[in-house]
Amino acid sequence: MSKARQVFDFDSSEYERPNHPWICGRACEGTACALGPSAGGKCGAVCQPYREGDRYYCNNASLLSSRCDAGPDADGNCCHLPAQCAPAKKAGTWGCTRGQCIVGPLADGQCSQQQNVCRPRRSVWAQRRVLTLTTTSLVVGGLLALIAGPSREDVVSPGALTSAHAASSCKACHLAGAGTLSDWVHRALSGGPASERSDQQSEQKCLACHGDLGAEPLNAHGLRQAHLVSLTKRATDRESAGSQVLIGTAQMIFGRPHQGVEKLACGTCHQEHRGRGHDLTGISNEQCQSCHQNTFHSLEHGHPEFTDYPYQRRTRIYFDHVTHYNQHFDSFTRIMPGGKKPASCLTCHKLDTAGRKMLVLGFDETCSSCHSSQIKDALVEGMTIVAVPRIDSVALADEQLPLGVWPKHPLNQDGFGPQGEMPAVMNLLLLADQGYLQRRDSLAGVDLLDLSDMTPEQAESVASLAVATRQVLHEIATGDQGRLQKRLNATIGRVAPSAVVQQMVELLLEARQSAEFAEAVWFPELSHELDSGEVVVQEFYKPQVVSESISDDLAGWSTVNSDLTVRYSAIGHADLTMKRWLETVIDIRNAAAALPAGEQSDVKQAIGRLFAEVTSPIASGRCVKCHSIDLSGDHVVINWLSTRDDSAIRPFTHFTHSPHMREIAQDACNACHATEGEECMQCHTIKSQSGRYRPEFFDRDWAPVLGSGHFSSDFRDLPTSNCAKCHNNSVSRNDCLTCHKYHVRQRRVQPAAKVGRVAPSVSPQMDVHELP
Amino acid sequence: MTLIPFSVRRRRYSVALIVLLLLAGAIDLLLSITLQRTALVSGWVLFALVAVLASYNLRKRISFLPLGSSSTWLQVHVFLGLLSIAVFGTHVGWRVPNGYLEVGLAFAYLVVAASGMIGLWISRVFPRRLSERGEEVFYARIPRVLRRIQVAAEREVLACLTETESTAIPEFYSEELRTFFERHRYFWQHMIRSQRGELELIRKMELHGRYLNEREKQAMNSLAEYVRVKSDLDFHFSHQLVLKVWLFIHVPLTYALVVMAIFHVLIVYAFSGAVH
Repeated sequence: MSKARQVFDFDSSEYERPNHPWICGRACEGTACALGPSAGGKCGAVCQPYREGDRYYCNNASLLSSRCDAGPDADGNCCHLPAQCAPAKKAGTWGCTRGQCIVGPLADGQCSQQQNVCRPRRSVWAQRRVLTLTTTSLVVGGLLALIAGPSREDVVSPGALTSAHAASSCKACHLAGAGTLSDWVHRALSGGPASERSDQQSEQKCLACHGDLGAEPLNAHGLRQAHLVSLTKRATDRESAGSQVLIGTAQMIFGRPHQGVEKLACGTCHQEHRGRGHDLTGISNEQCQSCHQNTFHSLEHGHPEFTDYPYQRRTRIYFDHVTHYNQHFDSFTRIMPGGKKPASCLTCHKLDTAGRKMLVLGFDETCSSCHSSQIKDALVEGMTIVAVPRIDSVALADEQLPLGVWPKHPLNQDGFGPQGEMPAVMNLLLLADQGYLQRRDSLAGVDLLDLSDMTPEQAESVASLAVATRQVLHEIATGDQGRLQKRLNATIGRVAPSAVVQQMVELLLEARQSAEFAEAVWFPELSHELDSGEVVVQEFYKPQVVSESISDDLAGWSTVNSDLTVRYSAIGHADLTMKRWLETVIDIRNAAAALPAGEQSDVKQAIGRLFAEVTSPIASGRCVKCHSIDLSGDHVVINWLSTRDDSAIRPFTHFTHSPHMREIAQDACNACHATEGEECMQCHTIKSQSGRYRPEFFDRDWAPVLGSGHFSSDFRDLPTSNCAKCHNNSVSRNDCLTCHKYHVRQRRVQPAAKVGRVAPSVSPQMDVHELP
Repeated sequence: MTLIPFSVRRRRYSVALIVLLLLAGAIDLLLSITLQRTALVSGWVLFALVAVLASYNLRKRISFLPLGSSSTWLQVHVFLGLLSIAVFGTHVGWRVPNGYLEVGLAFAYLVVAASGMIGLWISRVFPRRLSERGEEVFYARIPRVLRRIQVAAEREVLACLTETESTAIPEFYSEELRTFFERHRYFWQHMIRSQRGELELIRKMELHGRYLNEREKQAMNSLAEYVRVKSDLDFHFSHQLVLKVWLFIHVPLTYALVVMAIFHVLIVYAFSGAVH
């Protein structure tokens, strides 16, 4: 039977050519000819009649064994060449036009021999090749057509955008978004124009919308490099309880994400085109730590202990919990009969509307029962702007330098007012008086009460001081804004903007009424003397006798006859005038501090004295006893509020009080036994030792910049284990992003450029670890 | 040179595959931890794998070059193909892509990968089946052999007619066997190795035999033998056809995949930054 199937003889075995692109058209019928098709797919058995003598013979190789019956025609054409046969119809019958075909056309007029024509077919692999080329061409053509079409953004988009970006087009985020195919090729191979590569233009597209990421948004955490280095050093100085081998291995092999680059592309962490619901800000704990020097497993295992969290900085309002709780609240009724002891933390603190921050209630609700009387304390000297010194007028008269009418000083002491020194404001105003200024140095060591041994030069100096004092008082009393402006322009105008000078003038003019009254009482002839240019020399020294203070309670502006001063005393908490004085003086001080060292030293010295006087904790109103002053670089800012508006900042660590308080309050034991406010004590424990107020509370140069000062909180350090009770693998979230933010937006105290209300601004300068 | 047995080579490649899979997973994890662009790395690896896999087809065209044996290439092709599936999964994040081009690309890859795995199974199973049944016939010769069997069967029928002048055999042949011998039959039955069609014909022939004389019985027996031979040939044809047809999916889509992958790389770099 095998004989019927395959023949394997040397001369009769079929010779197949599967590697040829074309196979015989009759192969599928099992009657393939031995020649096979040509390389071009033409039948190899085409008859090319040859001529012997005067006759053409058939040489069709496929028919060698049985030659064509019809044979070639007289012209040598093969009778099997259908192309040449075009049957024609004659008298309703189809007939061969070549005339030699014995079969003739078919009934439908087709050449009967055409059916026998071999049409070579492609071999299997050739068919596959054609299909491959066709498929590939279709894909290329299809892609080009789709790109050229209106839906090309859908074609090239690798996936749906998150809902926040869903409305964006390609060009909103990609430089290539508006490009053509050739532009894409160029960008893919060269990265596009050099200018775009160097400026991180792709990231600028992101920042066009996300512009609130600070001045260096592409730096790690948006921080300046130097700041980052200092933070890194601070972190590495801490001891880490554990380290992640996996992260260490990854860092060792592939380096850290920011290694070798200062800027990080947005796409390093934020992967788009992952679908509508993709969490763009999601990042694993390991990825968070891949940049960090110290690595650990979780908050529960290995997280560095809080060294100062959440008490990094001094509270803005001076309040010593330790002393109050351990000392004052036990005995305050003895000295503060109207005082009220707080029942719990929540007597003075309350949550903000967002439930995030714990605020301090206002003065009236917290401190006033004990401390409001201290603000209006008559024993505290007010803000003195003019003080008339006691001068030995007799001795001056002997030197032919009569003072004219000069009040008798009620106090038997040397100098000015109760303190004996020239008030800082007056000192600043007199600096503009050239007559006084030229002789000021000779006044050093002179006893104004006894000028009997003075030199003539000193006598002239004392006289110039007297004249200058009267002049300043007169200018304020007459509301001479022009002269005051000129005077201040010559002093603080050399260091501060004109707006600050103007502000100072306005503050001085508020004392006009009191100064006018003082001039009328103390120097009744002053206007006449100044108008006439002559000193009223009386035959006998008849000093004006004045008695007690004009003002009863010394609140507000007053003329104080007891020490011959014109001054301002706070009328209560949140006194706007005192607030303006403080802010103006701080503006002037900040402006002076910005000058190079050694420049305008006399004015700086006078301003420094003014600043020290105004910001003294025992100055009028005692504002700075409670409202702390922070130093930032060369600038200071006074903290009027216990908290700040931090809507513009994003610290590294964020915490929301309300869920924690609620959770603690609902705790099994606390639900029955805890009293309101006790939940605070779960985390915040006041130190037990009773002590005095700690010095850092009154440090004028205290700066809330990391590393620039030490602050010891009233509260015990918060251990990480306290948080890890809940934030662990089994109870609640404990990934890095639960508490930490990557993009840090920080606040910087801006220089008082104009009228210096210190406005918070977003800048990576300070308060990195400052908490709500 | 000592020929390493196939089983040994397969074991070695399997171990290498597992090691590579573990290595790829570890690298992806470490890259992911350090916020590297894992998709970029896995993408290039996948592209390289596809390029190497596609070159196997070219390797068969340049057999004159000493580039290793074809069986070695095939085994490397198979194991790299399996590796590429893991790399592909890593590249797309084990999720269904949702961009048009991405979906097309993923679909092309998956079809290529699936056809490759099916082809692997076919190339492992079918040759064994072919060697177990009938005479192995080269695919290109099958039509010729088919024709030869048909001619032989018809000669037997004509001889019987001439000698017996009875039309019983010719009529039976014309009604039951002619279409069977003219072309290949029972493709799907052969795929599942069923001989139902063949046995049905044999049964009919046996039933018909009780009415035949000796000469006709002899002819009917011969025809039965031809039916068995033809059925074996159909079995070979069916299996060899599948052995060739799966490549009609695998190979063209591979090149389409390469084209789409190049386009994909172009788009990725155009929209994300320079190659360098």
